Amino acid sequence: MRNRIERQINDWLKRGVVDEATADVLIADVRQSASVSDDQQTQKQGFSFFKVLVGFAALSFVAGILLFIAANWDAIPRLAKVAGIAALIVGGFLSGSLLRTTAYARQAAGGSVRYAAFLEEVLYTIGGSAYVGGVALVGQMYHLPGSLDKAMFGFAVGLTVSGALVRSRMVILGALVCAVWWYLGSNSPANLFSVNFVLFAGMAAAGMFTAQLRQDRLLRRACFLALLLGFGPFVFTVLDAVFDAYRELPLFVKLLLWHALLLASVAMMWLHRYRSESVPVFAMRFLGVGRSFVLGLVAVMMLHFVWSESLLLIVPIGYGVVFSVFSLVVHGANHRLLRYAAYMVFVVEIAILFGDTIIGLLNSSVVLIVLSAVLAALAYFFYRIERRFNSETQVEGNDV
Amino acid sequence: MSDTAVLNPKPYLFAAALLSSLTLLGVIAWMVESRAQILRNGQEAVLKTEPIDPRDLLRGRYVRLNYAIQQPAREVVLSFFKTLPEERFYDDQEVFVALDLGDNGFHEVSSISIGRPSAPLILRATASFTPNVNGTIRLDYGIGRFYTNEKLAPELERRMREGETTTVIVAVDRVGNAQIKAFQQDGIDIVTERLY
Repeated sequence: MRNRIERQINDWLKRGVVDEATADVLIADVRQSASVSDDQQTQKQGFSFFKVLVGFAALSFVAGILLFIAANWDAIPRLAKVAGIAALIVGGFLSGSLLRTTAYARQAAGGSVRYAAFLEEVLYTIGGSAYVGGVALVGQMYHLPGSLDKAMFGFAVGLTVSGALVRSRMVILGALVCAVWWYLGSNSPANLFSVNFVLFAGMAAAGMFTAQLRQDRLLRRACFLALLLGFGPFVFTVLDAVFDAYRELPLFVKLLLWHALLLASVAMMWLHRYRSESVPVFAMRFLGVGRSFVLGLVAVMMLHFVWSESLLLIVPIGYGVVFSVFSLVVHGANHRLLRYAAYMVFVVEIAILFGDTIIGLLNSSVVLIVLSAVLAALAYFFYRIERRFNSETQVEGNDV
Repeated sequence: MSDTAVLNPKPYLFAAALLSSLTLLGVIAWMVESRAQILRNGQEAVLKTEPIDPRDLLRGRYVRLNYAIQQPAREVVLSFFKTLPEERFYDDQEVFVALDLGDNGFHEVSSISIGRPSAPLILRATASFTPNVNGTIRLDYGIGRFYTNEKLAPELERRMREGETTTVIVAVDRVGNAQIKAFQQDGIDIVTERLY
């Protein structure tokens, strides 16, 4: 693309469309814009038949070697096996770096560097895979029984160091997979003050550093994902402790907590509708209409749980019905998703009330008749509301 | 499409690739040499293996070995439990096992301890246990797999099932790391490991 635009600019220059100074400025700008990261480059290149063929060729090559080795395993001297692995490691990394260096020089001379970054990654991947195979081979040679979880640590460390050194996306991705596998399988992954966590975080940091050097968005996201997975056991432990503490709370504290949340939700929704100018900026940003509604729903749901053991079920059902109607009145016209969610809450609350009270008093045929009447009433209710909201929206549209 | 390819500079790449290769090769060489060193200089211990469930014998291309010293005598275990400071669950606890040559020609466990004892022949092991519960412990010495080829493995399995005494000779370094040195059945060497 860059070359094409540059050719076009040169053509304009020749035909006198732009003067030399303008052409220089345009070309400089095009070159600066083209200095994108490898990641962005890879995304731009997208699908390529060449890449598919190279991928299949690499797969066939590796499969052929593996089959050959498997068929002649005993006939191959141990040192020859290790030497083969060593040749693959050195060959993979050195040829990858040479390919990159020569391609970069070619680019500086104005030549094409198509697929250079892709082939470089393929070669590093071969080197990294050979290392993993080498460790497994030595384990087999000396009957080492170590578990896969422990082996993953060795793989992760080796791949992190080598991947960071050559700034390879694929090798670092492999290292991250191994690091997460090892860390989650280690003794105490929830302990953030352990040596294991420091090692894990160090590997993720090395990956992040590499992503930064490469300006590689995908790699950066992979590092974040790895860290997120690493934090998982800690988060679960904290949540477990929070739930344990919640279970121990006296009933009145639980009721206070969820009533306060429900009140806050209702207050925020009301303020957003009628006094939006008085809502602080941070509250506007972090506690908008949608989030306020969700918090209210959580509060209603938790009140259901708190009261589930008692005969006071009618109270949270009443809260649910009133909350849904309130939400519909203040924000139903402008928030379609909220509107449908509020309908749903309303129907569920009515269903709970119906199931817990009336259904036990009636026989099955009467239940069906009453149910049809209730559904018809609900349908009429929603029909009227929808008509009202539609007319309000139209009026607002006409006003605009 | 390919015209868009732009490579960013990667300074010192060749040196970095060389360092990467050396690092990875270093890890592999260290693994090889550390095991070869045990084979070369380690003390020998003769260990008896016991037949185990045939379904567990082979997993892929290795024979799973069950050593008699993995379950030491009850009095040895109880005396070890008495030395422990507190009653709690020990998870993957590293322990040191002192070995003595028994009357039958096989090495047996004479004591277990958390710290390194001054016995002439010690093995490092890991175990998970709760003191004073049943008085049992199962030790893992890291020598539970014997890799061999697909032809030999079923033969070894068959002989073990038929009750042939299977013996493993291990080399042990000064800090208790063990390395399988030879595999014998009824006194005949089936496999003797080379250094490299």
